[in-house]
Amino acid sequence: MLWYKGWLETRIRVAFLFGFICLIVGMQNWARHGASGVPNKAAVLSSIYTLVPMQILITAAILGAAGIATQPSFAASKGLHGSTLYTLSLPVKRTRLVLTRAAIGWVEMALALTVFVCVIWYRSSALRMVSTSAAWGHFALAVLICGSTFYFTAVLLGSFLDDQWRTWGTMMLAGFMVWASVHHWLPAAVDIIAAVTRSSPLVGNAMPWGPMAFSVALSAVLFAATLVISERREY
Amino acid sequence: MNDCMIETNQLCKSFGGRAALQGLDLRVPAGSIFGFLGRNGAGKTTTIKTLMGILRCDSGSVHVFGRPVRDADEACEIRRRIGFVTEDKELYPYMTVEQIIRFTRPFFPNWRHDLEQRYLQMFDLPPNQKIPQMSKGMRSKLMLLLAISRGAELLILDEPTDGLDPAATEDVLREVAAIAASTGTTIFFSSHQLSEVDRIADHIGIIDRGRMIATGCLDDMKARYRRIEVVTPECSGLPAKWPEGADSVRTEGRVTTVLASHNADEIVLAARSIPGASVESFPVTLKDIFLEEVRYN
Repeated sequence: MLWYKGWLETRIRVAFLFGFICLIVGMQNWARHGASGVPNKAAVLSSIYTLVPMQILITAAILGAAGIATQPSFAASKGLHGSTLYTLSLPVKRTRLVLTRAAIGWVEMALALTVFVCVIWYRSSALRMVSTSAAWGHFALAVLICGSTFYFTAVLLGSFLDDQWRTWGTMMLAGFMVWASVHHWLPAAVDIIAAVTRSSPLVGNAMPWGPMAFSVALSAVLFAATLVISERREY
Repeated sequence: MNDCMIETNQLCKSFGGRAALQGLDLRVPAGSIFGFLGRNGAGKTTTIKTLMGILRCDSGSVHVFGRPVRDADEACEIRRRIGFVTEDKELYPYMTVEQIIRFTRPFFPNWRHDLEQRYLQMFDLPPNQKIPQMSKGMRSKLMLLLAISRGAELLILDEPTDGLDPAATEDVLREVAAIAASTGTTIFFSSHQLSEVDRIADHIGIIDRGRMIATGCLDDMKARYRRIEVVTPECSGLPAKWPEGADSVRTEGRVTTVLASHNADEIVLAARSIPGASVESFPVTLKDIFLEEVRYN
Protein backbone atom coordinates (compact mmCIF):
# COMPACT_ATOMS: atom_id res chain seq x y z
CA MET A 1 0.00 0.00 0.00
CA LEU A 2 2.99 2.31 0.15
CA TRP A 3 2.72 2.39 -3.66
CA TYR A 4 -0.84 3.61 -3.29
CA LYS A 5 0.23 6.38 -0.92
CA GLY A 6 3.11 7.36 -3.20
CA TRP A 7 0.82 7.56 -6.20
CA LEU A 8 -1.73 9.70 -4.34
CA GLU A 9 1.10 11.95 -3.20
CA THR A 10 2.63 12.48 -6.65
CA ARG A 11 -0.22 12.20 -9.12
CA ILE A 12 -0.73 15.96 -9.37
CA ARG A 13 2.98 16.41 -9.99
CA VAL A 14 2.83 13.80 -12.74
CA ALA A 15 -0.19 15.55 -14.24
CA PHE A 16 1.76 18.83 -14.17
CA LEU A 17 4.64 17.21 -16.03
CA PHE A 18 2.31 15.92 -18.74
CA GLY A 19 0.83 19.40 -18.97
CA PHE A 20 4.33 20.75 -19.41
CA ILE A 21 5.00 18.22 -22.18
CA CYS A 22 1.82 19.39 -23.95
CA LEU A 23 3.04 22.97 -23.65
CA ILE A 24 6.39 22.10 -25.22
CA VAL A 25 4.68 20.20 -28.03
CA GLY A 26 2.44 23.21 -28.64
CA MET A 27 5.44 25.53 -28.84
CA GLN A 28 7.19 23.07 -31.15
CA ASN A 29 4.20 23.15 -33.49
CA TRP A 30 4.25 26.92 -33.50
CA ALA A 31 7.98 26.95 -34.30
CA ARG A 32 7.49 24.41 -37.07
CA HIS A 33 4.82 26.48 -38.75
CA GLY A 34 7.22 29.39 -38.85
CA ALA A 35 9.99 27.33 -40.47
CA SER A 36 10.27 26.23 -44.09
CA GLY A 37 12.57 24.25 -46.37
CA VAL A 38 14.90 21.34 -45.62
CA PRO A 39 15.68 20.98 -41.92
CA ASN A 40 19.16 21.81 -40.74
CA LYS A 41 20.44 18.89 -38.62
CA ALA A 42 22.57 21.10 -36.38
CA ALA A 43 19.64 23.44 -35.72
CA VAL A 44 17.24 20.57 -34.99
CA LEU A 45 19.67 18.85 -32.62
CA SER A 46 20.47 22.15 -30.97
CA SER A 47 16.82 22.61 -30.04
CA ILE A 48 16.74 19.02 -28.74
CA TYR A 49 19.85 19.67 -26.64
CA THR A 50 18.12 22.64 -25.05
CA LEU A 51 14.79 20.95 -24.47
CA VAL A 52 15.91 17.58 -23.16
CA PRO A 53 18.21 18.60 -20.28
CA MET A 54 15.59 21.14 -19.22
CA GLN A 55 12.89 18.45 -19.20
CA ILE A 56 15.16 16.05 -17.29
CA LEU A 57 15.87 18.68 -14.68
CA ILE A 58 12.23 19.70 -14.23
CA THR A 59 11.10 16.09 -14.02
CA ALA A 60 13.81 15.15 -11.51
CA ALA A 61 13.26 18.22 -9.35
CA ILE A 62 9.50 17.73 -9.23
CA LEU A 63 9.41 13.98 -8.68
CA GLY A 64 12.55 13.48 -6.57
CA ALA A 65 11.23 13.43 -3.02
CA ALA A 66 12.09 12.56 0.51
CA GLY A 67 10.48 9.20 0.98
CA ILE A 68 9.52 9.51 4.62
CA ALA A 69 8.48 13.13 4.94
CA THR A 70 4.98 13.84 3.66
CA GLN A 71 4.82 16.00 0.57
CA PRO A 72 1.86 18.19 -0.29
CA SER A 73 0.28 17.56 -3.67
CA PHE A 74 2.24 20.23 -5.40
CA ALA A 75 3.34 23.29 -3.45
CA ALA A 76 6.82 23.28 -1.93
CA SER A 77 6.60 22.53 1.77
CA LYS A 78 8.54 23.91 4.68
CA GLY A 79 9.26 21.82 7.75
CA LEU A 80 7.95 18.35 8.40
CA HIS A 81 4.25 17.74 7.98
CA GLY A 82 2.75 16.23 11.11
CA SER A 83 1.57 13.20 9.19
CA THR A 84 5.22 12.10 8.86
CA LEU A 85 4.74 10.71 12.38
CA TYR A 86 1.80 8.68 11.15
CA THR A 87 4.02 7.17 8.45
CA LEU A 88 6.68 6.36 11.03
CA SER A 89 4.11 4.73 13.31
CA LEU A 90 3.39 2.09 10.66
CA PRO A 91 5.04 -1.32 11.05
CA VAL A 92 7.42 -0.67 8.17
CA LYS A 93 11.19 -0.13 8.19
CA ARG A 94 12.47 3.23 7.06
CA THR A 95 14.49 1.58 4.31
CA ARG A 96 11.33 0.20 2.77
CA LEU A 97 9.57 3.56 3.05
CA VAL A 98 12.37 5.33 1.21
CA LEU A 99 12.88 2.54 -1.30
CA THR A 100 9.23 2.42 -2.27
CA ARG A 101 8.87 6.18 -2.54
CA ALA A 102 12.05 6.53 -4.60
CA ALA A 103 11.00 3.67 -6.87
CA ILE A 104 7.60 5.25 -7.50
CA GLY A 105 9.21 8.57 -8.36
CA TRP A 106 11.75 6.92 -10.64
CA VAL A 107 9.08 4.96 -12.51
CA GLU A 108 7.06 8.15 -12.91
CA MET A 109 10.16 9.97 -14.13
CA ALA A 110 10.88 7.17 -16.61
CA LEU A 111 7.29 7.34 -17.82
CA ALA A 112 7.33 11.13 -18.17
CA LEU A 113 10.68 11.17 -20.00
CA THR A 114 9.64 8.28 -22.27
CA VAL A 115 6.41 10.02 -23.18
CA PHE A 116 8.36 13.24 -23.72
CA VAL A 117 10.89 11.74 -26.15
CA CYS A 118 8.17 9.75 -27.95
CA VAL A 119 5.98 12.82 -28.40
CA ILE A 120 8.90 14.85 -29.71
CA TRP A 121 9.77 12.07 -32.15
CA TYR A 122 6.26 11.64 -33.48
CA ARG A 123 5.46 15.34 -33.64
CA SER A 124 8.71 16.49 -35.25
CA SER A 125 9.08 15.57 -38.91
CA ALA A 126 12.32 17.55 -39.01
CA LEU A 127 13.77 15.31 -36.30
CA ARG A 128 12.73 12.17 -38.14
CA MET A 129 14.48 13.47 -41.25
CA VAL A 130 17.81 14.05 -39.51
CA SER A 131 17.85 10.96 -37.27
CA THR A 132 16.84 7.30 -37.20
CA SER A 133 14.39 5.67 -34.81
CA ALA A 134 17.18 3.41 -33.50
CA ALA A 135 19.39 6.40 -32.69
CA TRP A 136 16.44 8.13 -31.06
CA GLY A 137 15.72 5.01 -28.97
CA HIS A 138 19.33 4.93 -27.82
CA PHE A 139 19.09 8.61 -27.04
CA ALA A 140 15.96 8.01 -24.94
CA LEU A 141 17.78 5.33 -22.94
CA ALA A 142 20.73 7.67 -22.35
CA VAL A 143 18.32 10.42 -21.23
CA LEU A 144 16.69 8.09 -18.73
CA ILE A 145 19.94 6.75 -17.30
CA CYS A 146 21.69 10.13 -17.13
CA GLY A 147 18.54 11.79 -15.78
CA SER A 148 18.63 9.37 -12.84
CA THR A 149 21.61 11.24 -11.40
CA PHE A 150 19.52 14.39 -11.04
CA TYR A 151 16.57 12.43 -9.74
CA PHE A 152 18.62 10.76 -7.01
CA THR A 153 20.28 14.07 -6.20
CA ALA A 154 16.81 15.47 -5.54
CA VAL A 155 15.91 12.38 -3.49
CA LEU A 156 19.06 12.78 -1.40
CA LEU A 157 18.51 16.49 -0.79
CA GLY A 158 14.88 15.77 0.05
CA SER A 159 15.95 13.46 2.85
CA PHE A 160 17.21 16.41 4.89
CA LEU A 161 16.04 19.63 3.19
CA ASP A 162 12.64 21.23 2.76
CA ASP A 163 11.05 20.94 -0.68
CA GLN A 164 12.02 24.44 -1.76
CA TRP A 165 15.69 23.93 -0.92
CA ARG A 166 15.65 20.48 -2.48
CA THR A 167 14.48 22.01 -5.76
CA TRP A 168 17.02 24.82 -5.64
CA GLY A 169 19.79 22.43 -4.67
CA THR A 170 19.03 20.12 -7.59
CA MET A 171 18.94 23.04 -9.99
CA MET A 172 22.23 24.43 -8.71
CA LEU A 173 23.93 21.06 -9.14
CA ALA A 174 22.47 20.70 -12.63
CA GLY A 175 23.55 24.25 -13.50
CA PHE A 176 27.07 23.49 -12.33
CA MET A 177 27.18 20.29 -14.38
CA VAL A 178 25.94 22.07 -17.51
CA TRP A 179 28.50 24.83 -16.99
CA ALA A 180 31.31 22.31 -16.42
CA SER A 181 30.23 20.35 -19.49
CA VAL A 182 30.05 23.42 -21.73
CA HIS A 183 33.55 24.44 -20.61
CA HIS A 184 34.83 20.88 -21.10
CA TRP A 185 35.89 20.66 -17.48
CA LEU A 186 34.64 17.16 -17.04
CA PRO A 187 36.36 14.06 -18.46
CA ALA A 188 34.25 12.53 -21.23
CA ALA A 189 33.66 9.38 -19.17
CA VAL A 190 31.78 11.28 -16.47
CA ASP A 191 30.17 14.05 -18.53
CA ILE A 192 26.52 13.05 -18.27
CA ILE A 193 25.36 16.33 -19.81
CA ALA A 194 27.44 15.71 -22.95
CA ALA A 195 25.95 12.20 -23.07
CA VAL A 196 22.52 13.71 -23.78
CA THR A 197 23.79 16.59 -25.91
CA ARG A 198 26.91 16.83 -28.05
CA SER A 199 28.09 13.21 -27.45
CA SER A 200 24.64 11.66 -27.57
CA PRO A 201 23.69 8.71 -29.81
CA LEU A 202 22.03 11.22 -32.13
CA VAL A 203 25.46 12.54 -33.13
CA GLY A 204 27.81 9.59 -33.20
CA ASN A 205 25.29 6.71 -33.35
CA ALA A 206 27.19 5.23 -30.38
CA MET A 207 25.90 4.76 -26.86
CA PRO A 208 27.71 6.93 -24.28
CA TRP A 209 28.43 3.91 -22.09
CA GLY A 210 31.02 5.66 -19.92
CA PRO A 211 28.79 8.52 -18.69
CA MET A 212 25.83 6.14 -18.41
CA ALA A 213 27.81 3.76 -16.19
CA PHE A 214 29.02 6.74 -14.19
CA SER A 215 25.44 7.95 -13.80
CA VAL A 216 24.28 4.53 -12.55
CA ALA A 217 27.16 4.37 -10.06
CA LEU A 218 26.60 7.94 -8.87
CA SER A 219 22.85 7.34 -8.52
CA ALA A 220 23.57 4.25 -6.43
CA VAL A 221 25.91 6.22 -4.16
CA LEU A 222 23.39 9.06 -3.81
CA PHE A 223 20.61 6.63 -2.97
CA ALA A 224 22.76 4.75 -0.47
CA ALA A 225 23.47 8.09 1.22
CA THR A 226 19.73 8.81 1.25
CA LEU A 227 19.05 5.50 3.01
CA VAL A 228 21.73 6.19 5.62
CA ILE A 229 20.40 9.71 6.31
CA SER A 230 16.78 8.55 6.48
CA GLU A 231 17.75 5.77 8.87
CA ARG A 232 19.66 8.09 11.19
CA ARG A 233 17.52 11.19 11.00
CA GLU A 234 15.26 12.02 13.91
CA TYR A 235 11.78 13.14 12.98
CA MET B 1 8.83 -7.86 32.61
CA ASN B 2 5.89 -10.03 31.54
CA ASP B 3 3.21 -8.11 33.41
CA CYS B 4 4.50 -4.81 32.06
CA MET B 5 3.44 -3.69 28.62
CA ILE B 6 5.97 -0.88 28.65
CA GLU B 7 9.17 -0.73 30.65
CA THR B 8 11.91 1.86 30.41
CA ASN B 9 15.05 1.98 32.49
CA GLN B 10 17.18 5.10 32.92
CA LEU B 11 16.04 6.42 29.56
CA CYS B 12 18.00 9.46 28.38
CA LYS B 13 17.52 11.57 25.29
CA SER B 14 19.00 14.96 24.38
CA PHE B 15 18.42 17.33 21.50
CA GLY B 16 21.43 19.48 20.72
CA GLY B 17 22.68 19.40 24.29
CA ARG B 18 19.24 20.01 25.81
CA ALA B 19 18.17 17.03 27.86
CA ALA B 20 14.60 15.96 27.13
CA LEU B 21 14.68 12.72 29.11
CA GLN B 22 16.99 12.28 32.08
CA GLY B 23 16.88 8.72 33.34
CA LEU B 24 13.19 8.05 32.88
CA ASP B 25 11.90 4.90 34.58
CA LEU B 26 8.45 3.94 33.42
CA ARG B 27 6.37 0.80 34.05
CA VAL B 28 2.97 0.40 32.46
CA PRO B 29 1.11 -2.66 33.74
CA ALA B 30 -0.69 -4.85 31.19
CA GLY B 31 -4.40 -4.10 30.97
CA SER B 32 -4.13 -0.73 32.67
CA ILE B 33 -5.30 2.68 31.57
CA PHE B 34 -2.18 4.69 32.25
CA GLY B 35 -2.41 8.48 32.34
CA PHE B 36 0.92 10.11 31.52
CA LEU B 37 0.99 13.61 32.97
CA GLY B 38 3.43 16.44 32.74
CA ARG B 39 3.78 20.12 31.99
CA ASN B 40 4.54 21.41 28.49
CA GLY B 41 8.05 20.35 27.52
CA ALA B 42 8.28 17.81 30.34
CA GLY B 43 9.19 15.04 27.89
CA LYS B 44 5.85 13.32 27.24
CA THR B 45 5.97 13.36 23.44
CA THR B 46 9.67 12.47 23.40
CA THR B 47 8.87 9.46 25.57
CA ILE B 48 6.05 8.41 23.28
CA LYS B 49 8.20 8.78 20.16
CA THR B 50 10.89 6.67 21.82
CA LEU B 51 8.36 3.98 22.74
CA MET B 52 7.25 3.87 19.11
CA GLY B 53 10.84 3.52 17.89
CA ILE B 54 10.58 6.86 16.05
CA LEU B 55 13.33 8.39 18.18
CA ARG B 56 16.40 6.54 19.39
CA CYS B 57 17.39 6.96 23.01
CA ASP B 58 20.93 8.08 23.89
CA SER B 59 21.17 5.61 26.76
CA GLY B 60 18.98 3.37 28.86
CA SER B 61 16.58 0.72 27.65
CA VAL B 62 13.02 0.58 26.32
CA HIS B 63 10.97 -2.60 26.16
CA VAL B 64 7.44 -2.81 24.83
CA PHE B 65 5.67 -6.20 25.07
CA GLY B 66 8.99 -7.33 26.59
CA ARG B 67 10.80 -6.69 23.28
CA PRO B 68 13.60 -4.17 22.85
CA VAL B 69 12.59 -1.13 20.80
CA ARG B 70 16.19 -0.34 19.91
CA ASP B 71 16.27 -3.23 17.43
CA ALA B 72 14.74 -2.12 14.09
CA ASP B 73 13.10 -5.49 13.36
CA GLU B 74 11.65 -5.71 16.84
CA ALA B 75 10.44 -2.09 16.64
CA CYS B 76 8.58 -2.96 13.45
CA GLU B 77 6.86 -5.91 15.14
CA ILE B 78 6.06 -3.77 18.16
CA ARG B 79 4.41 -1.10 15.97
CA ARG B 80 2.27 -3.81 14.37
CA ARG B 81 0.70 -4.37 17.80
CA ILE B 82 0.24 -0.71 18.72
CA GLY B 83 -2.49 1.77 17.88
CA PHE B 84 -1.16 5.33 17.88
CA VAL B 85 -2.74 8.78 17.95
CA THR B 86 -0.26 11.59 17.34
CA GLU B 87 -0.26 14.85 19.22
CA ASP B 88 -1.07 17.10 16.26
CA LYS B 89 -3.65 14.76 14.67
CA GLU B 90 -2.20 15.37 11.21
CA LEU B 91 -2.91 12.87 8.45
CA TYR B 92 -2.05 12.87 4.75
CA PRO B 93 -3.59 15.98 3.23
CA TYR B 94 -4.12 14.33 -0.16
CA MET B 95 -6.28 11.48 1.12
CA THR B 96 -9.93 11.07 1.95
CA VAL B 97 -11.27 9.20 4.99
CA GLU B 98 -11.91 6.13 2.88
CA GLN B 99 -8.46 6.29 1.27
CA ILE B 100 -6.55 6.49 4.54
CA ILE B 101 -8.51 3.56 5.94
CA ARG B 102 -7.79 1.57 2.77
CA PHE B 103 -4.12 2.55 3.02
CA THR B 104 -3.72 1.67 6.72
CA ARG B 105 -5.70 -1.58 6.83
CA PRO B 106 -3.21 -3.95 5.08
CA PHE B 107 -0.38 -3.16 7.51
CA PHE B 108 -2.30 -4.69 10.40
CA PRO B 109 -3.25 -8.36 10.19
CA ASN B 110 -5.63 -8.05 13.14
CA TRP B 111 -7.56 -5.18 11.58
CA ARG B 112 -11.10 -5.03 13.00
CA HIS B 113 -13.59 -4.33 10.22
CA ASP B 114 -16.42 -4.37 12.74
CA LEU B 115 -14.80 -1.60 14.80
CA GLU B 116 -13.95 0.35 11.63
CA GLN B 117 -17.61 0.36 10.55
CA ARG B 118 -18.85 1.02 14.07
CA TYR B 119 -16.66 4.08 14.60
CA LEU B 120 -17.28 5.41 11.10
CA GLN B 121 -20.95 5.56 12.03
CA MET B 122 -20.51 6.60 15.63
CA PHE B 123 -18.12 9.44 14.81
CA ASP B 124 -20.15 10.38 11.73
CA LEU B 125 -17.11 10.44 9.44
CA PRO B 126 -18.01 10.87 5.75
CA PRO B 127 -15.85 8.40 3.77
CA ASN B 128 -15.36 10.74 0.82
CA GLN B 129 -14.33 13.79 2.82
CA LYS B 130 -10.79 15.08 2.21
CA ILE B 131 -8.72 15.24 5.38
CA PRO B 132 -7.77 18.95 5.11
CA GLN B 133 -11.48 19.79 5.01
CA MET B 134 -12.03 18.16 8.39
CA SER B 135 -11.97 19.97 11.73
CA LYS B 136 -9.35 19.02 14.29
CA GLY B 137 -12.04 17.25 16.27
CA MET B 138 -13.00 15.13 13.29
CA ARG B 139 -9.35 14.36 12.57
CA SER B 140 -8.94 13.28 16.20
CA LYS B 141 -11.88 10.93 15.80
CA LEU B 142 -10.49 9.59 12.53
CA MET B 143 -7.10 8.96 14.16
CA LEU B 144 -8.81 7.20 17.02
CA LEU B 145 -10.73 5.03 14.53
CA LEU B 146 -7.47 4.18 12.74
CA ALA B 147 -5.76 3.36 16.04
CA ILE B 148 -8.57 1.25 17.49
CA SER B 149 -9.31 -0.65 14.29
CA ARG B 150 -5.73 -1.93 14.18
CA GLY B 151 -6.79 -4.57 16.70
CA ALA B 152 -3.91 -3.37 18.85
CA GLU B 153 -2.90 -4.77 22.21
CA LEU B 154 -1.64 -1.37 23.25
CA LEU B 155 -3.06 2.05 22.42
CA ILE B 156 -0.67 4.99 22.73
CA LEU B 157 -2.62 8.23 22.64
CA ASP B 158 -0.78 11.53 22.71
CA GLU B 159 -3.21 14.19 23.94
CA PRO B 160 -6.19 12.36 22.41
CA THR B 161 -8.74 15.02 23.35
CA ASP B 162 -6.65 18.08 22.54
CA GLY B 163 -8.74 20.52 20.50
CA LEU B 164 -11.99 18.65 20.98
CA ASP B 165 -15.20 20.27 22.13
CA PRO B 166 -16.71 18.95 25.37
CA ALA B 167 -19.17 16.66 23.59
CA ALA B 168 -16.46 15.13 21.40
CA THR B 169 -14.16 14.80 24.42
CA GLU B 170 -16.90 12.93 26.19
CA ASP B 171 -17.35 10.57 23.22
CA VAL B 172 -13.64 9.86 22.98
CA LEU B 173 -13.15 9.25 26.70
CA ARG B 174 -16.15 6.98 26.86
CA GLU B 175 -14.88 4.94 23.93
CA VAL B 176 -11.34 4.68 25.31
CA ALA B 177 -12.68 3.40 28.61
CA ALA B 178 -15.06 1.02 26.80
CA ILE B 179 -12.25 -0.44 24.69
CA ALA B 180 -10.11 -1.07 27.73
CA ALA B 181 -13.01 -2.70 29.54
CA SER B 182 -14.22 -4.87 26.67
CA THR B 183 -10.94 -5.98 25.07
CA GLY B 184 -8.39 -5.72 27.84
CA THR B 185 -6.30 -3.41 25.65
CA THR B 186 -3.66 -1.49 27.58
CA ILE B 187 -4.04 2.25 27.11
CA PHE B 188 -1.20 4.69 27.59
CA PHE B 189 -2.28 8.26 27.12
CA SER B 190 -0.74 11.62 27.78
CA SER B 191 -2.87 14.59 28.69
CA HIS B 192 -2.89 18.03 30.21
CA GLN B 193 -6.46 17.57 31.28
CA LEU B 194 -6.23 16.26 34.82
CA SER B 195 -9.98 15.80 35.13
CA GLU B 196 -9.92 13.42 32.14
CA VAL B 197 -7.10 11.39 33.59
CA ASP B 198 -8.82 11.32 36.96
CA ARG B 199 -11.95 10.00 35.29
CA ILE B 200 -10.60 7.10 33.27
CA ALA B 201 -7.05 6.25 34.37
CA ASP B 202 -6.31 3.54 36.91
CA HIS B 203 -2.55 4.21 36.89
CA ILE B 204 -0.68 7.44 36.44
CA GLY B 205 2.85 8.64 35.91
CA ILE B 206 3.95 12.23 36.38
CA ILE B 207 6.95 13.33 34.37
CA ASP B 208 8.85 16.54 34.98
CA ARG B 209 12.05 17.68 33.25
CA GLY B 210 12.50 14.24 31.74
CA ARG B 211 12.20 12.31 35.02
CA MET B 212 9.38 10.28 36.47
CA ILE B 213 8.56 12.03 39.72
CA ALA B 214 5.53 10.01 40.77
CA THR B 215 3.94 6.86 39.48
CA GLY B 216 1.60 4.17 40.64
CA CYS B 217 -1.98 3.05 40.99
CA LEU B 218 -4.18 6.15 41.12
CA ASP B 219 -6.39 4.84 43.93
CA ASP B 220 -3.34 3.94 46.03
CA MET B 221 -1.87 7.36 45.45
CA LYS B 222 -5.10 9.06 46.39
CA ALA B 223 -5.27 6.94 49.54
CA ARG B 224 -1.67 7.74 50.41
CA TYR B 225 -1.88 11.46 49.80
CA ARG B 226 -3.78 13.54 52.34
CA ARG B 227 -4.41 17.20 52.86
CA ILE B 228 -4.18 17.98 56.56
CA GLU B 229 -5.61 21.24 57.88
CA VAL B 230 -4.40 22.44 61.25
CA VAL B 231 -6.14 25.37 62.93
CA THR B 232 -4.14 26.74 65.86
CA PRO B 233 -5.21 29.34 68.47
CA GLU B 234 -2.27 31.51 67.47
CA CYS B 235 0.34 31.53 64.74
CA SER B 236 2.97 29.91 66.90
CA GLY B 237 3.48 26.40 68.23
CA LEU B 238 3.90 24.72 64.86
CA PRO B 239 6.63 22.08 64.71
CA ALA B 240 9.94 23.33 63.34
CA LYS B 241 10.18 20.15 61.33
CA TRP B 242 7.22 18.07 60.24
CA PRO B 243 7.55 14.29 59.96
CA GLU B 244 8.72 12.82 56.68
CA GLY B 245 6.04 12.89 53.98
CA ALA B 246 4.94 16.46 54.58
CA ASP B 247 5.74 17.70 51.10
CA SER B 248 4.30 21.17 51.43
CA VAL B 249 3.33 23.28 54.39
CA ARG B 250 1.44 26.55 53.91
CA THR B 251 0.33 28.82 56.71
CA GLU B 252 -2.29 31.54 56.26
CA GLY B 253 -3.26 33.21 59.48
CA ARG B 254 -4.18 30.53 61.96
CA VAL B 255 -4.70 27.86 59.33
CA THR B 256 -1.80 25.62 58.28
CA THR B 257 -2.29 23.24 55.36
CA VAL B 258 0.03 20.28 55.04
CA LEU B 259 0.05 18.11 51.91
CA ALA B 260 1.33 14.66 52.76
CA SER B 261 2.55 12.32 50.04
CA HIS B 262 2.82 9.51 52.60
CA ASN B 263 3.03 8.97 56.33
CA ALA B 264 -0.18 10.97 56.85
CA ASP B 265 -1.03 9.32 60.17
CA GLU B 266 2.22 10.40 61.76
CA ILE B 267 1.77 13.93 60.47
CA VAL B 268 -1.73 14.05 61.95
CA LEU B 269 -0.32 12.88 65.28
CA ALA B 270 2.34 15.58 65.15
CA ALA B 271 -0.34 18.18 64.43
CA ARG B 272 -2.51 16.97 67.28
CA SER B 273 0.39 17.42 69.68
CA ILE B 274 0.17 21.19 69.08
CA PRO B 275 -1.64 22.65 72.14
CA GLY B 276 -5.20 23.71 71.28
CA ALA B 277 -4.95 22.72 67.63
CA SER B 278 -7.86 21.35 65.70
CA VAL B 279 -6.76 18.89 63.01
CA GLU B 280 -8.66 17.53 60.03
CA SER B 281 -7.47 15.20 57.29
CA PHE B 282 -9.01 15.32 53.77
CA PRO B 283 -8.63 13.21 50.64
CA VAL B 284 -6.92 14.92 47.73
CA THR B 285 -7.68 15.25 44.03
CA LEU B 286 -5.38 14.27 41.19
CA LYS B 287 -4.86 17.96 40.57
CA ASP B 288 -3.53 18.40 44.14
CA ILE B 289 -1.15 15.49 43.64
CA PHE B 290 0.04 16.72 40.27
CA LEU B 291 0.62 20.31 41.38
CA GLU B 292 2.34 19.20 44.53
CA GLU B 293 4.66 16.75 42.81
CA VAL B 294 5.57 19.22 40.08
CA ARG B 295 6.21 22.03 42.59
CA TYR B 296 7.99 19.84 45.11
CA ASN B 297 10.38 18.42 42.53
